[in-house]
Amino acid sequence: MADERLELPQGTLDLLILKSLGLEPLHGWAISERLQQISRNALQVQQGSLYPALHRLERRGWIAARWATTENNRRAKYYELTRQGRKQLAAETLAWRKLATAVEHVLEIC
Amino acid sequence: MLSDLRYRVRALFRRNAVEAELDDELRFHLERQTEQYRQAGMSPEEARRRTRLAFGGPEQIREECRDARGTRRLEDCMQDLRYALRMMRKAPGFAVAAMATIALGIGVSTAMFSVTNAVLLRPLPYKNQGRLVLTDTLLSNADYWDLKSAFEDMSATMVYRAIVPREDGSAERVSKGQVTTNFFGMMGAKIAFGRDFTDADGRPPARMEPLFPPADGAVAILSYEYFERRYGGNTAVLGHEMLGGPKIVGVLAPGFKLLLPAGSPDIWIANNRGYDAPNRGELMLQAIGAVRDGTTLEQAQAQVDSVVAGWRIPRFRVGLKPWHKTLTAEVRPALVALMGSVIFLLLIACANVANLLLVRASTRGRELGIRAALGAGWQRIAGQLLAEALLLVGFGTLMGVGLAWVGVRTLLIFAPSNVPRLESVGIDWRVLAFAALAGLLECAALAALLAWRAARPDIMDALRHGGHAGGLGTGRVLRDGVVVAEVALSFVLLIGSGLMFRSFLALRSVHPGYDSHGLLTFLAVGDARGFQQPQRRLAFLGELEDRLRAIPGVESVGASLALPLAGRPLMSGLQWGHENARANAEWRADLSTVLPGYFETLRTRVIEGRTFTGNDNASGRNVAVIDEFLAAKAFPHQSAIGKRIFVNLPNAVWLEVIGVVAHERQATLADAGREQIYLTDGFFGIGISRHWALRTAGDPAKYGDAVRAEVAKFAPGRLAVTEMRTMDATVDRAESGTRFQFLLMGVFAAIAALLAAVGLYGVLSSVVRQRTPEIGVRMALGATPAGIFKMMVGRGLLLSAVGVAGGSMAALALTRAMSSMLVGVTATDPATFAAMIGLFFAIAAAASWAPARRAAGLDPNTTLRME
Repeated sequence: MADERLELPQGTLDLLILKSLGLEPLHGWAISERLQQISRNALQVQQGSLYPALHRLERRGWIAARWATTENNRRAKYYELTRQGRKQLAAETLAWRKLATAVEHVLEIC
Repeated sequence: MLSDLRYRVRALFRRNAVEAELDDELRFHLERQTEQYRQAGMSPEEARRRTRLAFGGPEQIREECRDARGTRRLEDCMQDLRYALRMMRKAPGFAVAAMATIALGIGVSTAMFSVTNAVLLRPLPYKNQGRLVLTDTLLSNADYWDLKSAFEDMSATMVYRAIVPREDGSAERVSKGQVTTNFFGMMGAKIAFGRDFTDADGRPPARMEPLFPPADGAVAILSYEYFERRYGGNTAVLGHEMLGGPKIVGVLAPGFKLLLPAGSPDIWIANNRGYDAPNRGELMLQAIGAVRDGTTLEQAQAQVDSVVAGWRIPRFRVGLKPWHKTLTAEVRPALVALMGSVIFLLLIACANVANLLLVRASTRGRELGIRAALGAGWQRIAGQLLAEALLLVGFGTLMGVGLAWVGVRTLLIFAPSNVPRLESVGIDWRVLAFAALAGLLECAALAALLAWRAARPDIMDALRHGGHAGGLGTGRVLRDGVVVAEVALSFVLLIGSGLMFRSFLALRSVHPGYDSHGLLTFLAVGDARGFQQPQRRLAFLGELEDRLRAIPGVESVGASLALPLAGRPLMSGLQWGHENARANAEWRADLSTVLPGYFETLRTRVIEGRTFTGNDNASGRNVAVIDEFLAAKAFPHQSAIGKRIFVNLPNAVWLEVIGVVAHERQATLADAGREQIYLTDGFFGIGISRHWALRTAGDPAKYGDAVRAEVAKFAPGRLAVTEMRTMDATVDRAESGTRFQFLLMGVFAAIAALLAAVGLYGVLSSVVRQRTPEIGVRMALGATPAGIFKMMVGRGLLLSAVGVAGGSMAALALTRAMSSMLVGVTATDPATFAAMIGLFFAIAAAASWAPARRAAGLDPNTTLRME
């Protein structure tokens, strides 16, 4: 069975995580769910690889973690964007758009 | 940035909590995912399988999360250290041996360095210390003022012993120093209380005091130590006159010392003689000059020469010597040689530890092989070995610093008295830095060796041979090399200590020119006022001599202004000549002034002519006794009696030679020293302070009390008796420097030889273990145990021979540096070399004995079965 889903280009996972946290704090599993949903299952993210990325972002201070109870009354680690994280999200979004436009432009011309 | 740091610190120090959180987080994810699949209608097994697939390998994810924390390398390091600590606990014998060896090397070298640091390396504690020079002759006041213009600044000192009366009628002996008023300012000395000298303090008074004892001047500054000792630190003494002496105007800050051979004064008095042209011949001042910034020593010397030429004194020269170099000149060769020895010792200790580690690395060949096979990179393996070296060296260095602390104290107890600034020896930051540096270098050397070894683990070989024979085989050349280096280094030390031993023996058999057995010597110091006329002085001294001779058991009495080996000669390095050799300005002699009976009491052999009698003290009788050296130089192959010689004082004074005596070793026992001229007390004596020597029946030490009592009865409160000791004790003290160097070098060499023997033993032992099967085969094929034994000892001796050959060559090059420490033996003394080679092979044979016996005692059946 050939998998039609796209592998994530290097470095875009961070951007997607930041974006998915843009609305509200989420725990790890919820982030992976949201990524699947909003990309309409087009992106292939191995769920486990989310966590090293989350920890890296936490270390950089773009997201902050706290433990809280879920709606099902279980303890989970919630991540939320910090102010620095929001700035980073804006910057990376802009950069991505520029890159995407540029790549598209090149593809059209050639 | 800050959050990053906080995160990393937490990951590092709250590692368990962070790990538990990670587990919780991942478990939560997996449970939710499984739940979701279950809700989609999958069986529990299917749900779990799909979850795992979607998630990926949990262990790998965990590792990646750990990497993401950014504390990876540090954690590896800590893990390595923990592992190394565990390994050390598993083999405590090895760890203790290695650490003790390192501690020994670092401890001994650090202790020695603390002495070198204080004595040789630390600059003089004065302002402009790098530009300070001393004149090599004493000067008069007029000379000093003339020469001052050649320097940025110049001061002059004269240190002498004096008796100071106390308020309660007793007297104390102190060291007084007369200094020019600019002295403290030029030296940058701090005044704790009161004031420094001013130019006004140096202005000559209306009435000039007699020249000797030196005019005390009007004002004095006390050393802080004397101020504490004598006045209990009471500043009320400021502005008051000392009993019979100058007015106290100031107190120096604690610790200020005049680093000259004469010692540092307790009471500093302002020199107020001014430009004293009539007394140009009175050479009493030691001048200290600060060379102008940017002027070389040669340029300063040229300026001094041109000033001195203006004095028109034939053949008189004032030389300049850098102060620090002069101060340390006497002890520098010994310290350099000893420092070299301990560095060798440090290297040997390091080599021994390297050897131990290499043996262990080879017995751990299998373990390392497995780790390599499981995918550990060589950096990780090397890292682990490095951690082990780091721990060993770290603990060893700490122990070494402790050892050095003890060692310095021991050294100070045995150190000879001629070492300047010994009181300032201690463990300061420089010494600690030295220890740390030594430790770091040692660690780096060990790590490099181990990493090199680990970089090429022959995995298959190690695994195939089960870590026995194959593992031991690797690194053999390396370890042979280490042992050969060890042997070479320790052999150099053995040669050094052998030469010192020979010197010590030679020194013990030196004939000093006098008979020290049965002699009691002491110094009687007194105020010279009232004894300016020679007749009065001689009468006083003559009566004292008679009374001393009257003590029952005293056979004869002699007196001089300076006895051999006790303090400095009266005047040293004076230029002399005779009628047919006027041009020779290189001839220098030491001057001594003696009372009749001096040579007889010291039993100095009279070679020709006669010694002084009482009549020679009469005024106008310019007669001299010279020693055999001077006679040989001035009047070779002819009688010196009746000949005339002159001495520059600084103007030529002519003397008639009446006798020639054997040369007396005056300054040191080790060195013959300069030619000697003896003058009569009547002609050249001064004051009433004399060194006395008593030839006694039986133990001279017993006469001390009788002598004190007699002197006190004869001149109550006038003469103080000090430095009472037997001449044998003085001779013993004069030998102490060589003895100390010999003992230290002997100890160092013994430790070095022991370490080398242990290294040799270790290498041969592992050779036996490694070649056990081969030996079994040899025996099965008919080799005798004696043959095997010979083979193994031969191997030990071969390694030693290579090391000794290298060591001999190094020793030939290095021991030359010791030349000035040696007495009666050359640095390349063949007998010492031969003896030490013999000794070393005996040590090597002893070290090879046990492993060779083990090899010879092997049972061929068992060894062959081992294969």
